Amino acid sequence: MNELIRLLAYMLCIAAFLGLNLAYLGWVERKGAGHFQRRTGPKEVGPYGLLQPLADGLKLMSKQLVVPANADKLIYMAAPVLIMVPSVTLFVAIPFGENLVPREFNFGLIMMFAFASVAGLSILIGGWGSGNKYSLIAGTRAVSQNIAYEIPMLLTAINIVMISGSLDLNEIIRQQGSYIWNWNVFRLDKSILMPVSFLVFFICSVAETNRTPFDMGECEGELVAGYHTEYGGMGFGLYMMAEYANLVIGASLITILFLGGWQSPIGILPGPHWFLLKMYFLIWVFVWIRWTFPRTTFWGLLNLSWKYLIPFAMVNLLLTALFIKVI
Amino acid sequence: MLTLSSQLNTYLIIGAVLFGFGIFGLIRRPSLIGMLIAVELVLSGASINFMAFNRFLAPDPTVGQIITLFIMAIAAAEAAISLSIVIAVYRNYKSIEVEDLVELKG
Amino acid sequence: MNPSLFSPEGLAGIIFLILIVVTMIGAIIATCTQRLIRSVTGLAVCFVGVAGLYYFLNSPFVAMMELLIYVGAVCVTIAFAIMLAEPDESKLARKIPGLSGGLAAICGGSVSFALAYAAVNGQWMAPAAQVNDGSLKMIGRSLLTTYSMVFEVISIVLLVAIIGSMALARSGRRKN
Repeated sequence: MNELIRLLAYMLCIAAFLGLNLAYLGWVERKGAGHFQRRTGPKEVGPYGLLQPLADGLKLMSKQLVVPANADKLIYMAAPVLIMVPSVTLFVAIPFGENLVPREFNFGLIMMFAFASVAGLSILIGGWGSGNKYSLIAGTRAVSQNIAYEIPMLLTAINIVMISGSLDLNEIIRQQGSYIWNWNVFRLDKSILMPVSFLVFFICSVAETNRTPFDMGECEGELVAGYHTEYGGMGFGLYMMAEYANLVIGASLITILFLGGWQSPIGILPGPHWFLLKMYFLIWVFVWIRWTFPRTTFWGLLNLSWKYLIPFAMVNLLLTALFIKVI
Repeated sequence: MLTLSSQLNTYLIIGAVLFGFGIFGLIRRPSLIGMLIAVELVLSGASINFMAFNRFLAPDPTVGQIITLFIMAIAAAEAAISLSIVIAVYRNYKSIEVEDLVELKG
Repeated sequence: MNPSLFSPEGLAGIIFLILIVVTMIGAIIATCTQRLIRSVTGLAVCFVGVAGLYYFLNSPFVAMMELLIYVGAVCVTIAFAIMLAEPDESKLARKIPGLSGGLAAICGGSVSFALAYAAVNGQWMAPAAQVNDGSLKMIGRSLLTTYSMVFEVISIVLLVAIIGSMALARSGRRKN
């Protein structure tokens, strides 16, 4: 009974955390976009536009859910739900603090990647189910990008696994010590190219979450709105929320693997506040990148992954292995 | 009813049923890709069988898992090659129904 | 013997039953619908169910690999092929008369009944003592020492598959 109560409490807390994040990350994005473009973002609704997400939510919920005539009705209805499910499920394994993890899996890292690839299939199905050839093309592009960038991400994550000797996310954080020079990104004694691994993983995360400059799946302006063109009302809302959930998961993963998770940079008071600080800093960098760089071309994007990042990640892996075993 | 997950027979029956579904799909589907989907179901049934014996009756519980990983990799390779063949066939015959692929030459 | 409904074993039992239902629904969708894209979705749902079953069989690593490889790669590849080799929906709809459905059901049903009967009534040998605990570390160790041949063979198979698909895809390109 104890266990049940504990799990229910965690479920409620994660739902609350997610709900707040998914709503207000949209606000962060629009404010950030505004200020990077030398204008203020939303500022009418509430002080500093803080009630904007509520207004958006109300608007989306009050719209009629129209199913296009050509669409496959079952798949059209199911696709937004299928995209949210893997992203939300992953929150069960993220260690916010040393004892603040809903369930500690000893294969936590693989679980992250496994559920991320399930989300890839849902994008394809969503693109097909809209019955619109532009959505189809956008969905196909998004999925080929997803698959292409999964590989260097996995290869770079194996570096971290080799250093820490465990797939458990909390264990990986524990192995990184307490000061900023003990975090994995700065550990040059384990591999001379560790900061470069961090950069590779960061680029792959940007590509995996389908954000500019890699947002071929939803290029505004090229493919109308990409694979969620035909979705209105809350279907669109779910897609947006899934994108922000993926963003939170990507930022958490980078924090855990490279930046020390809940370890503190000055040696005192480790805890979830450091985790959240680092995660939000990374999300801010994601937003910054989105509104600074132009979009890459599709072949440039895939070339970057297959021809440059994958060979580089493989060589990196060999180098790390060499460093660990020989030096 | 609630302790089904700790009995061997449950998993063996599930494996057999998935195998049966695969054969049902294989006979029923007139297109190449539909047959591929049914073959994947057959392979899943076989893998569940391996894993069930691995858990309950194997002295070395890594063997079943290694075989299942092997089956997974083979299924992935098979899916990739059969889909290349399907696309090549589609280019030539403009159709993926097995009833249209009746010419042996050319 | 029967655990209470709210104890951890009871909840695990309920989740197991849900997983069986999910697997069966996925298999039914995969084999019985007309449109191929729904069939692929059903296959993906079935694989998610099977991954859950693997988790119950003390192999979380294989469960995650199932999700990663089958749902994330094989189903996506099949969906891509469906998009590239547009199946003619009207032709597909015309071609499934009742007899073929009945015959298929009899074949599938008899094969599965025979297998299940043989499995349930078989006298399986009791296991010897367990040599290791089947954890991920042991899998890695045995994959690189005792069963390294499996590892090498699968690398060769994947290499041949990659070269084969590239060869097949390239010849089509040169024609255009």
